[in-house]
Amino acid sequence: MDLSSGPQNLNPTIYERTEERTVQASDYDNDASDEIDRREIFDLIRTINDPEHPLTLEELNVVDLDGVTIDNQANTVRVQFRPTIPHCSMATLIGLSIRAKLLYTLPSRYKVGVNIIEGAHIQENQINKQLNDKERVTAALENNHLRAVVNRCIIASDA
Amino acid sequence: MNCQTLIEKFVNDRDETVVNQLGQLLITKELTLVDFIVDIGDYLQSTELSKRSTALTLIGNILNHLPNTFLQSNEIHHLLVFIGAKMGDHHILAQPAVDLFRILAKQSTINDEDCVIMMKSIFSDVYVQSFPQASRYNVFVILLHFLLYRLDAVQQLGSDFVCNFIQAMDGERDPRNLVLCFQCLQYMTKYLDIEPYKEELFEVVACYFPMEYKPKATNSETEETITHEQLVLSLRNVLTSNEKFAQYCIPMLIEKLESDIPTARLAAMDVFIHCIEEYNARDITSYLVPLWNLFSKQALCAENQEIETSALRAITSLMQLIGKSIQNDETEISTKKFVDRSIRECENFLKELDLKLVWPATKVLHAVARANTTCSSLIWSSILPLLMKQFENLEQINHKRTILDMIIYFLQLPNIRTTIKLPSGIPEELWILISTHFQTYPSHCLSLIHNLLQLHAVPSQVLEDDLTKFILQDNIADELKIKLSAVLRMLASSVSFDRICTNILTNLIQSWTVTKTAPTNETLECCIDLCHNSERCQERLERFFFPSAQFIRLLPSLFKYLSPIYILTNLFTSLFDLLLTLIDHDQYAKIFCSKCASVANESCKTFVENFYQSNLLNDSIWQTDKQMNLLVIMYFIGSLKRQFFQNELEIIFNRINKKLLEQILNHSSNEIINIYCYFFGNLINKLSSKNEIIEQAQTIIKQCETSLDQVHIHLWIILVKALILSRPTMIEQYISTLILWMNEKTPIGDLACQSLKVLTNFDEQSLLLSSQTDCIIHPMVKQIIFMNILSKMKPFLTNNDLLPNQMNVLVDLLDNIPKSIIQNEIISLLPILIRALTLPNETVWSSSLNSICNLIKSEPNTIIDHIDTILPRLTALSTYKKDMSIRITSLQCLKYITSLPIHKLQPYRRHVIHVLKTCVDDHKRLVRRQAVDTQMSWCLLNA
Repeated sequence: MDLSSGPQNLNPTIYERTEERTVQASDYDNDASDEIDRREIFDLIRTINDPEHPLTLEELNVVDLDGVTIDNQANTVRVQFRPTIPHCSMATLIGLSIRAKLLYTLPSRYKVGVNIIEGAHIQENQINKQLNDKERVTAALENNHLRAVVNRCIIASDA
Repeated sequence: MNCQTLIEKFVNDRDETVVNQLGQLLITKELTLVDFIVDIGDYLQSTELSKRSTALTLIGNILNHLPNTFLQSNEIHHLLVFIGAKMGDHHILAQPAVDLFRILAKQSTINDEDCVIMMKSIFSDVYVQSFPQASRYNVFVILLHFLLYRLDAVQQLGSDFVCNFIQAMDGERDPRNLVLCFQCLQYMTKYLDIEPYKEELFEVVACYFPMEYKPKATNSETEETITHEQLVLSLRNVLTSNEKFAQYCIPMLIEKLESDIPTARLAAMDVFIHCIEEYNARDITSYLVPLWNLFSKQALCAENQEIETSALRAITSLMQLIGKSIQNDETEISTKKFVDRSIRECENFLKELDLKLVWPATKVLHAVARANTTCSSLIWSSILPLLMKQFENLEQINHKRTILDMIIYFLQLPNIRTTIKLPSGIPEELWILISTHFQTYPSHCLSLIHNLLQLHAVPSQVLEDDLTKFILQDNIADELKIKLSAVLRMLASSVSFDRICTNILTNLIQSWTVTKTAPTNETLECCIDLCHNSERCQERLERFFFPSAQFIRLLPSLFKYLSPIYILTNLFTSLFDLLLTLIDHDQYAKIFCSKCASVANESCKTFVENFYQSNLLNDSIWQTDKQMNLLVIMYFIGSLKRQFFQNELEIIFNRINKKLLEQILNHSSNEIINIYCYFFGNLINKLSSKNEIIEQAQTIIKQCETSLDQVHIHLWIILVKALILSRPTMIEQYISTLILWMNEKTPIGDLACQSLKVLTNFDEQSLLLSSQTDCIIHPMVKQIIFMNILSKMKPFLTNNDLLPNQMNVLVDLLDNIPKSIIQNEIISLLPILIRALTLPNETVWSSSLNSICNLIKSEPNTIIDHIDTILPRLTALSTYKKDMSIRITSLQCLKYITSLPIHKLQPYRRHVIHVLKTCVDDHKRLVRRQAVDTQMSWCLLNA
């Protein structure tokens, strides 16, 4: 992956952010139980920063609510994302950041799948394979340099 | 002891007491100044340098002791000439000489010639910058003193002074001296002719711009340090003080604005914003366009909020500067040309709603419009039609919303709205836009109406119907209600909207009179909003007078428009029966009674007198069926102003105190007893200026102490609180008794703990014992009470067997106290708080966690020593099943702890992350949200 060259997509289109989730009365009721839903997963990943721009994945429309599916019975989560341009070299890094964020924050009972939306990237199959290979993801996150880059993407989210 | 020996003592032994003694001799005239100088003469002319220096120091120290009126004009002159000669003598002598100069300069009898001599001596005999800091400081103090009080003398030197001053301060680096220098310069640019040296003067100042200075941390608090802000401000004042600097200053600012360093750009914009008072646009004609380009670039591509705000302010200032100069269509400096330029540059961004530059461009244009009336009408007349056209053409709803937001934003002009009118045609179009889109975008339309009304645009007839329809619909969202209320109040307040206001009111009244139903709360609220007018309030109110609980809740907001006597005779009396049914359960009924009484003044004396004569002093009032009447009367009487009704209150107290006490001790309902007690406390507090009342109260308090049960302890604490509120020092008499009770392991202990809460709770709705009801509240009462209680509780804290109830009270207390009061205490109390978390008593956990959470947030380092105990406890509480707020707070604590140094946390990291894995799977979403936040902080600890 070539991280040193300048940004590839110099003038990306920027999308509006969704409003914060409204808190309902039932949210304060300790006895009612709230299942993890699509919106909650989306809230976890929408604040991830793009590696190139000072913008979040949501603002670049890389991820949206429709791209998230969750099945609480089968304990699976699937996230589909759309790189801003079809030859984006950052696609793997974005996918890795999404994986890392979900790895840190999602209960371990879920099996997570991260994919590129069909037809959104020229190397789609290759990248999907990389992202969903457990060993390769673990190895990538153990690489100090790569981990620092990924952490930078997911850390600034609450600042 | 004679003068000679004293002087010897000083010179040989450095005995400082000599200074005092000699000073006394001089003041009492036992020693004349001439004799003193003659006596010290030998030393002054000694061949040993150190003796000469010591002798000069002695003179300085003695004169410093004397009042500044002591010396005669001729004495000053001789001293001055002598010291002036010493200045050139040897550099070591220069320092005490400058000290002496400073003392002489401040003598009131010094004449202008001597001032000139002194200044010449300073400027010509010595090189100021070769002095140590303290002496340079003295020099600048002298010069500033002359500039402030001896301007005539300084003006005799004229521009020589300027030239010499530049030499004296050139190269100055000490912040303390710089602040003084800048002050001097400010006066010089104002009162002296700086023309010949203006460039040099500017250069000597400009080298400090932008000011970069970090104050050193001082060890002692007494040592005064110069802050960065102080330096920046004084430097800015010099740069912006004179229009002659403009031609040098503006190029410098442009250079800084082009730099990559954000602080430099901020500093440059700050100076520019403040220079427009003095500077003239014609001096800097050629720089106006570059300035505009730089500012608009800053505003459009600002890295952060601060730069954006400054850049926008700078744009406004630039337009104001341009607006100040004389201009017509031919001149190069023209407001119109610049407004056109701004529109040309920003217009395109306004059309691309998906791009990020929409708002920055809007803000730039708004900043231009804000400058003056010409700018705003030019911007309005070209931008508003454009936006309206765009609004009609766009299809996406969120785009339309953005356009509406922009229109609303353009119509907000905080400073000048009173004097300007919208360009003709525009308000009409906007009203049409509002009426066609009211249903779809109610929130935006309401804001727009509000802004238009503020600009005195008279609305069309359609607005009445729109608003009426809007009000009468069900379920208006809360945020819309606030906007609606603002619009209605705006309509009500001005005479020009009188017709619309009356029509809407009629429509609303019809909505319930025609159907013969009760008005809804919202409708009633709108009617009340429409009464907010100082002249027509009463008239409008009478049209729809509708007694109901809601009406009573809303009415007090109108009191400021009505006369006190009207409120009492027409409103209070006619609502009396309704109040009787509401008083025991409705908070607003209580507030209403109290508000009615608090407006009563001199003119209402007869009403009040009749009221209590016929109601309260009538014995039948104490019968059980009259209980509600009694409550209404209590809230009313308890809120009367001391200023007008002191005597009446005293009569009432004397007449009813026995009856009231009897009722308190014999009544069955706890709530009613509580109100009676507070009323009793209220009267005592208000009459506490009278000693006999205090004595009576103290007797009752004593009686309570003899028979300890719930009622007596309650009465005791309320009376004590009533007394303490007006005289906080009285707490010392009573607090030990309370602490004694708290120590008892009987129900009395629990009751006493409850009482302590009553004493320390100031938020509680104890209406009758508050400043709202005109009670005497000592301004420092909270601090005094808390400090007293804390000091008395200290022994408890060190002693380890704290009763659960005491722990409860203490932790609660800490949660309630304003943090600034216990800043120093809280750290010593931390072990207690942590222990509270391990107690089986669950009720204290929440308050204790809150206190700990605040502490960790503000000062994480205090927790370091306790980390071994607190971390396991927090992790355990973060999975506490029964209460989600405890889970959330402990997760918050865990998050704040991550700001500690990493080596402290490393041993626990694995375990904490492991526990958090279960928290992110919590069954409550809000807990999960906090858990995710905390989890991220722990996972990325060393990232």
